[in-house]
Amino acid sequence: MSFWEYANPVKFLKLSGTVLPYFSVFAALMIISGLCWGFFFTPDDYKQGATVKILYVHVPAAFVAINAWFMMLIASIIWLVRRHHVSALAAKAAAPIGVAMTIIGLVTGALWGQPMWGTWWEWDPKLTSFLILFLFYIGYIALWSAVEDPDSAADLTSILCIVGSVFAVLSRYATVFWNQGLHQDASLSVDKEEHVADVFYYPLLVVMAGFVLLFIALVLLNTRSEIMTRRASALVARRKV
Amino acid sequence: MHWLLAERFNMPDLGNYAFHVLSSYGVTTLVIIIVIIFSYIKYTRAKKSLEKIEANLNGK
Repeated sequence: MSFWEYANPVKFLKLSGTVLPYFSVFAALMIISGLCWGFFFTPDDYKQGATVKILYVHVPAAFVAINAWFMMLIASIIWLVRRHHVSALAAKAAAPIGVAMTIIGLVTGALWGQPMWGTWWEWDPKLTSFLILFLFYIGYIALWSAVEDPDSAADLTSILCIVGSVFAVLSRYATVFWNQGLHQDASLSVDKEEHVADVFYYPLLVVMAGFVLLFIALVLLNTRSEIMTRRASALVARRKV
Repeated sequence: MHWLLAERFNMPDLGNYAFHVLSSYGVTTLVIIIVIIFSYIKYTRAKKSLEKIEANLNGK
């Protein structure tokens, strides 16, 4: 069996209908348990005090916001190269979730920055590139709505997605590239020396896994909606002919 | 297990940061709930619409 078989909408609908409840339940369990663990069972940070608890919502949301764009990038490239409609619709389906996660990242970042940096916002490389990524998300959704022909819309949004991926990379690595600004380096790293203390790290991993599962579940649900809407339009058009 | 959890349970004293921490959790919860509700409504509408069209076509 090939991975590309799931580019068939009927097979995709069947598989996604089976796995969607599992992803949804595990997402809810992991987010709730991870947040409770982080909020009630971890101490305050010696520097940041109780504001460290914002870590458990800010980091997973920003992580998903940036990686949602990379998922859209892969789906867009698949569309441009292999012309599989499900991949274009999956990219379209991920955009509203990416917007939501970017809003959470921006708002919780401001709420964390005010007591720690003394300002709600700073034109720092990481924050600025993240804001531009948010604007790209809005532009991407607007472009899908603006172009009537679905294939042309998929082509144009795929190109926009490739251009916008520059800002997804910058949002992730700005502190490494420029080594300036208020924002700290990444809270998570493969190198144990670089990431947050273990007491914060493990609950953070649980919440992040929950956010990733939630993202997958919502992308599956939205892709199903897009496929059904597309099929309904095709049936109506066929009946008119 | 429960005694271990009870021992480690720590009702946080958020102090001056209560607004910032609770607002962060509140905004996150609200945005996630809105996204879930919108996605679900969109899905049920698409499903009903497709079923209606298919029923009309099959009825012909």
